[in-house]
Amino acid sequence: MRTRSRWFAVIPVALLTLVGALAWGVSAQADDGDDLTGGGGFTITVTVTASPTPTPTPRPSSSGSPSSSSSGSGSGSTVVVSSPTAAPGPSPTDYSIGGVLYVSGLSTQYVPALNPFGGHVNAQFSVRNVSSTPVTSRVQFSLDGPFGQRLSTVGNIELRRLMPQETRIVDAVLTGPGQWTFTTARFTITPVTAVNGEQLEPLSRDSIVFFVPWFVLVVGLLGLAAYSITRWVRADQRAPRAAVGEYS
Amino acid sequence: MLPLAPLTRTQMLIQSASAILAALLIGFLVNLLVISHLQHAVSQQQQRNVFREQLAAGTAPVSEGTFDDILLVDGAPVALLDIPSLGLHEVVGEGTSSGDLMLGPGHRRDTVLPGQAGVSVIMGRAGAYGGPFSRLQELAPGERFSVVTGQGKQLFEVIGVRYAGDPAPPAPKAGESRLILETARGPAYLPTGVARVDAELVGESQDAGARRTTFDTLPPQDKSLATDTRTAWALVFALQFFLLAEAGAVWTYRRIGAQKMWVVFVPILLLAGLIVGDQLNRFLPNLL
Repeated sequence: MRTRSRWFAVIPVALLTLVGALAWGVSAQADDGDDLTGGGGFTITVTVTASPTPTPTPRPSSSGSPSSSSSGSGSGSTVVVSSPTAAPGPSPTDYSIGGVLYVSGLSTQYVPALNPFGGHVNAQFSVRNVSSTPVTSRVQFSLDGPFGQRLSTVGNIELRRLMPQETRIVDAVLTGPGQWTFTTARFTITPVTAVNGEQLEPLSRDSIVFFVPWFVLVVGLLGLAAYSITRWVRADQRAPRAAVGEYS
Repeated sequence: MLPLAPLTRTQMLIQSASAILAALLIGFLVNLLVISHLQHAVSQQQQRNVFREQLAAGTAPVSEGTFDDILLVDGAPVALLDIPSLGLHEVVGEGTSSGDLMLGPGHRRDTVLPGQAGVSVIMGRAGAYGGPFSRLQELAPGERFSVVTGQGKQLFEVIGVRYAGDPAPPAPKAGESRLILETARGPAYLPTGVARVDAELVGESQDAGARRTTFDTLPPQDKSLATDTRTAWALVFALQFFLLAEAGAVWTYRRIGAQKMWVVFVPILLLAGLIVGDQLNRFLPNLL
């Protein structure tokens, strides 16, 4: 009977997983354009245009490359804005691709802590200015839980004067992942409203951060161990009485 | 506890059918989450052997056809993608359907090969079958990577990452070459959209080879996040094979014995489960 009930328990779980994966994939396909030039219904964009080839700009001094640090307004989270390892500036192999700002995706790393409500997520992205003038932007990081609740925010960080052809790395520490297991880290970069007459809009990137909820697992394992030990001890206590009963 | 009443014939039938269904679903998940990665590794080794041989012989494809003008079959190796910062070293096959991307990243048929003048698109899975493009969004603007094709080693520089709906960089000018790497975004195995990395060729572009496929004639199952139901008939046969094997196992268990049944039928049932799982996976989005 136990085997039977186990099978009946497994089937719905497996079936739900399969149906969920299929439905999710199909819905994702439905709302996604396939053209190479964008399309789709997203409203968060950075306006880029096929601007004429900008004239080469002077290479900023490598030692004096702009670098700034600032702290966000989040709960104990920090942000570091650092220069790239290589000196920015056009080299003989550089070329113009047009547009103004280009960003990478968001890279994340979960760092656990002994405090079950602690831990943090290191988040990092790169931004590159391909226009011919310095661009100043503001960046906001956030970390959301599996139900969309905000776990931490680091906001209003100024990314000062990103020089032409410069790539800068922005690194933030997002606190509060706790034991939420599935969290979403996100950043939004808001450039100045216009560069060289081009209107710019905020741009967001996100990343799913999965980690093992160690505290929940430990509590579960301890509970299982306590249950097993209790069962074993009680079975051991019952066994002699049963034996006496058989021979009496 | 009171003893349970024996099952009726109907209940036994439901129990057996449920057990078979559960075995199939569990097999499907194991295939997707575990075995698919092994299949990808094996496919890549085979692809690499073929492509190295073609490069050495100078017969690696530079168009949609082979060197003797025969249309490339789905999955035929066309390039070697090397992104050191991601630890990615994959052979790219021709075609981007769900089945093609089981082998590794795939080149979309209606676009030029990487390094040729124009726009080239390479798609890759983010989760299953090795998830070769799972870390694609970590590429930073300005990073460089290479693609080896039949026309030599092509060096690309990353422009940036964009999601569907974001404006693309300005179209490449005549003679310039652009490469777009595409994968799914969102949680692993649960895609929520498409992420694209644009990259620009550094240096001189190559001549574009002839293409028979255009965007209008590109099969729908080769587009982003598309599913492939062309081989649904094969799934029917695979399921029949699985049921026959299971019936044979039950008959052997009753007539000959458990030990011999296990020895003979475990490999057969595993094979049947693998075939069924493989066919089911083709119904899932190609970038998953």
